[in-house]
Amino acid sequence: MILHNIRVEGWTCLIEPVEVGPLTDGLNIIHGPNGTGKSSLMQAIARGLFDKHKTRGNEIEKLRAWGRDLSPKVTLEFEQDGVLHRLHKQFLDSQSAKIDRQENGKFIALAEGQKADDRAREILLGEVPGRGASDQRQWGLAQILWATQGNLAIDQLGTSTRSTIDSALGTQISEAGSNVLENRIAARYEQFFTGKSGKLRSGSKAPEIVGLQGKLEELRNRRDELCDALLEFEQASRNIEDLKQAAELAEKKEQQTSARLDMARQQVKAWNQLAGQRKQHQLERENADEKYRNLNHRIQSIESARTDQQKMAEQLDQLQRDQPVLEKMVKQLTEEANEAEIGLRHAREQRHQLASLRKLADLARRYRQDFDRCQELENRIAEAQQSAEKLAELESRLVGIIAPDRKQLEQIKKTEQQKDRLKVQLDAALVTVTLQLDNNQKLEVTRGQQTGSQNAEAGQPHQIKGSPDVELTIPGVGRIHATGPTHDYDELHAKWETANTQYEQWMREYQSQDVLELEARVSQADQLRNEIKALLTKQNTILGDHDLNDLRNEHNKLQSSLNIIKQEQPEWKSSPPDPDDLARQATDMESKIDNEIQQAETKYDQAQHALRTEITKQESQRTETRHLDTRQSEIVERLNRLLDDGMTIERLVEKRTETAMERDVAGKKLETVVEQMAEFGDDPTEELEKLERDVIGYREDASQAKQKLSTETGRLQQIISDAPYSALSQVEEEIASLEDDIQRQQQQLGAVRLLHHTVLEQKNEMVDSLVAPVRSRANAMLQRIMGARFEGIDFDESLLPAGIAPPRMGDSVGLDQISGGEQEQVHFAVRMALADIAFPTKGPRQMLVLDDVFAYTDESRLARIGKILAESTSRFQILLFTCHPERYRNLPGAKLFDLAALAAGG
Amino acid sequence: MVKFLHTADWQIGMKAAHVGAIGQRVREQRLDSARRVVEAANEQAADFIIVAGDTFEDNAVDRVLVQKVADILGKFFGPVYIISGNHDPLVPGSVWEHAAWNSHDNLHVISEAQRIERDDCTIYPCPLFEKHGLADPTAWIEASDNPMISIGIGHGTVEGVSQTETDFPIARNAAARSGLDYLGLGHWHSYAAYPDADENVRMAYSGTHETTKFGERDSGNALLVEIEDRHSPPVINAISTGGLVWKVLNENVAEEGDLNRVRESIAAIADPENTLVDLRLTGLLQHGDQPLLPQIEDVLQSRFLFSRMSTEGLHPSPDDDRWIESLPAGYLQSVARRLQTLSDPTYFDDRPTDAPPEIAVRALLELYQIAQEEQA
Repeated sequence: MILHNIRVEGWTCLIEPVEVGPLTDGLNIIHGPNGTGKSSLMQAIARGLFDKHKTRGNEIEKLRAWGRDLSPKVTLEFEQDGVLHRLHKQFLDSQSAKIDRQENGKFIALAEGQKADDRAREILLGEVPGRGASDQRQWGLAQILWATQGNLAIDQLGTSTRSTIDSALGTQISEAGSNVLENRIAARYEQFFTGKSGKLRSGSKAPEIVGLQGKLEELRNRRDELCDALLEFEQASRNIEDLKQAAELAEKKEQQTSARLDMARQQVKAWNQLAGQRKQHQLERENADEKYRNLNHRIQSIESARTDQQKMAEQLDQLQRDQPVLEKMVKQLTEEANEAEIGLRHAREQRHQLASLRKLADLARRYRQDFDRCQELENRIAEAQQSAEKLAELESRLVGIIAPDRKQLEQIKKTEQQKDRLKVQLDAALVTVTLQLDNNQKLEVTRGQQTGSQNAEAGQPHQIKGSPDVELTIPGVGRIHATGPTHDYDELHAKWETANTQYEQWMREYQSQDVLELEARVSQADQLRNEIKALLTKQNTILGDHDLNDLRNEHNKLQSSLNIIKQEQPEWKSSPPDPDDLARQATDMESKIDNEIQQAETKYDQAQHALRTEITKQESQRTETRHLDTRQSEIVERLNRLLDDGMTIERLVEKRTETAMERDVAGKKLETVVEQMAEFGDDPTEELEKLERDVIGYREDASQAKQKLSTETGRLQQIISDAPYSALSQVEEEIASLEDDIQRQQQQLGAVRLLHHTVLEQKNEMVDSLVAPVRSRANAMLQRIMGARFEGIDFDESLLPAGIAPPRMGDSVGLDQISGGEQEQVHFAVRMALADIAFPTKGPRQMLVLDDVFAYTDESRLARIGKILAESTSRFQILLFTCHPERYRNLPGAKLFDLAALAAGG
Repeated sequence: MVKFLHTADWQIGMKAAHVGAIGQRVREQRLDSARRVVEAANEQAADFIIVAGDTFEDNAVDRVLVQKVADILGKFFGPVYIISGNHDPLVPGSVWEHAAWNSHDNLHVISEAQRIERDDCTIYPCPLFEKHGLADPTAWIEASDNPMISIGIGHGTVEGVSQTETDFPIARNAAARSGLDYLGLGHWHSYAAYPDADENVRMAYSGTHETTKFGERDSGNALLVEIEDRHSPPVINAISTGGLVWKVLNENVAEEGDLNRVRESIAAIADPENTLVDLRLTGLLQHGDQPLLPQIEDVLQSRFLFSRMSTEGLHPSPDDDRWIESLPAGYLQSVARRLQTLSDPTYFDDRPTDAPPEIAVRALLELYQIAQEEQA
């Protein structure tokens, strides 16, 4: 349906007739300040189409013009299926309804009264309202397309609207009767499980299985206890067996060990007797042995002292014979050493001659070096003087050339080019009118460079220039107005003037007529600079780090030094010396002197060494003589001490033989006792102690085993009296029985849960397949408006938004948790998505009505919504009521209606 | 000639968790059956009874049971030779230390592997002293030179009976090798005889005197053995001593009406109060037969001493979805078809962990029942 015209009268605040139209089939902005009747106008469209003209009630009564007894009237002209219709309704008093259809250019009545109501309502598949005025659910597809002020959200889709959308999506969730079965399945599920968490119910409403599981747990604990008791029983039984064996074994070992103990005691007694004998014989033998060793040592000492005494007497005799020979030898060697010392002194005195010769060679070398340096300095001073003169000449020539530097020259050239280019542009910007008239004429120039009267001669070209145009009047001919290029002549002229002034200033400064001349001068100057630079480089090379005066000073100093040497060595004036030859002579002399000194030193050292050796030998012989005298006295004293008891050495030898015999007798006795003891093996005392310890240990083991056996037997009897196996049998049977019951009930619960879950799963799948197209369209639309601020809108089965998912949050939040503006944008996106599905792209155009619904939306998002609305005009006629027309004024194709002006008769 | 009764594996005090709540009844039944063994021995005028091990399930059973068993055996007119088995080995704290065994003169609990000389025969007992052992307990027997009828009593696993259990192995030719006229064995609960090269049975398991579980074959007997002379072939007769009937029913259903046939056959079972039933249903459950399942369960639970019914192998027939079409169009029909898919045990694609086929079958039945109630 496309609305062409609305006319209302006596409708709330619109008392006088107001007509809005003709409306475009695109975007219509009906604007006006608050209270001018925008919402009344929208209300009139809805009431006209969906309410019965005879409707009564408070809602309809409110339509009456305020404080007046007028009947509200509305006339709508609209196009439906390509045919123009006109609907007129009057409510409250003199109620009427009539619908006309345009046929052959004329409106002809189609229906009236209730029939007219019905026909109007069917246009948008509206539903028959009950008593009183219609509400949005009965608006049919207009429920999606029309949003009244503050009601952008859709509460609930009407039956016919929903049916249209379902049909468009080709899906049906269920037919009648499903809810009853689903509710019964849910009730069955909730008998056992909690609705929200899906856990088994607890407390008084808990299913039987919960109690059974508790009991089962108790029984399992009891079973574990009994199993432990059984293990304990087995362990106790095994322990008793082990303890019996242990006790028997310990007793048996005690008996065996006791028998061995008696034998061991007898052996120890015999062993101890033998040990006493062995000790006594050992002592006898040791005493005899010590006595023998003392005697033997005394005899050997006496013999040794006597031998030493004799050897020393012989040595002293020999020393006294060697003494005169040594004294003679020392005297001879002393004379030889004195001679060698004199020879060495003579050889060393030759070194003075060598020093004089080296000094002369050094003087000759310095003379040659200074002479050569003097020559070189003379040459460099001459070259430097020539170069300085040439440099002065070139610099003088360079000063005479008046020319800019290269950079300045480039600037001048650039300015000249700019000036020329501006001149061309200036000429192009100037409008030029050239007249060549047949007769002399007086022209009147009204616009141009020169205004006023001008005379044009017949047959002669006459130019009139101006910018931006030229206008002139030729009497009798008419007015000529010439326009030209769009350049600003004055601006160009000003630029040219600036460039030209600069150029001429430079020409004057460099006393030149043109740039070419300047370029030649610059080249000439550059060449001179290059030559100067080369000369400077050459002079730097000659002088190095010095100036010319430095060179001259150095030359003078050298000349003075040379003169002094010449006075010392006059023969060098005629024949300059050869320093290398003099150096060679000095080296030869040095080699010869060194050789002679070395030979003298060797001879001297040898003589000294031989002398010292003989003197040392003489001293050593004297010392040895004194030492032998001392030792001889000591030996005499020692011999006196060894024989001071009056015993002779022969008597001492006899006594030593007797002592040796006593020692051998004691040794024999000891060997006999040791052999007897060896028959026992090791000391039997240790074995005896070990056996005694073993017997005590076995006795204790047996006692402990019996004690433990008694304890363990008591424990076993205690366990037996509890009959754990029989108790276990009963518990396990009860467990098995309970497990059967629980399993049966679990299967039943599992079945109920599976049924319930499958119902939810299948239903959700179907709902999802229905919701998916709406969701994808709405989310795409929302993203265009607000970007990726949200992951998407969540829909429920009603196809209306249930929440919105913030990014990366997972769960959705309620729409009431987002801002008012964003709520508007979400509801707008949902409406557009539903409209997109309900109205096929190729179907007839429909009317979209929005009554000031973006109260909280910010400017930038509203601009995006405006763009979407503008795009939507390809499928929808849009009526947008607003008190802010400036927000939509720039939308392409928007037609604005000022309701205040229209109401005032404008 | 000697005539004696060979019994074993009374397993007194046995736990019967597999039958849950009637465990006590099953245990008491074993004592009743023991009385029947002794009555049979008295009726048959047996010279003696040999009990070949595992008289008790465990050494830690209630001592009241020990006294009861001693009293039952004490009612036999002749001597009773009892050996310990692997369940009740002769260890400290065992049932055999109880004073009850001294309260009847005819009872001989054998505590050593030693010959027992009787006027009419020699007995070679092989008591066990441990729960596990790898030695042949009969290996010590050498009766070849004995001119008297020689009877062995042993407990263990005859080679070849089990591939997995190797405790107390007994050679298949143990009787012949040892020169015994008869070797009475215990340990395995089913009757088993081992003929020698001459086809004479000189070695046998009597089996337990009372069946212990579902599927246990040839149990609930004692053996009456008669031996004329030394080396004469023993004459063995089984005497039924069991009191309870353990029935395993494997029923496959395919057509509508099959389940009714099952119900009728169960209803026809005699002596249900002494019968235990294990019904295993497999096949396809038809739409019309679904109400029969609870009926069968009712019959089993109300009449029989014990019953259990397994429907895990039963799944709704995929061809029978008339009732699904009667559901409201939309997601409820999808629910029914999804559950039908999950009921198929061969379906694995995206089965949720909480939806095994048996649960899915039950869920489907829940939906069916709710739908039926609503339609009614």
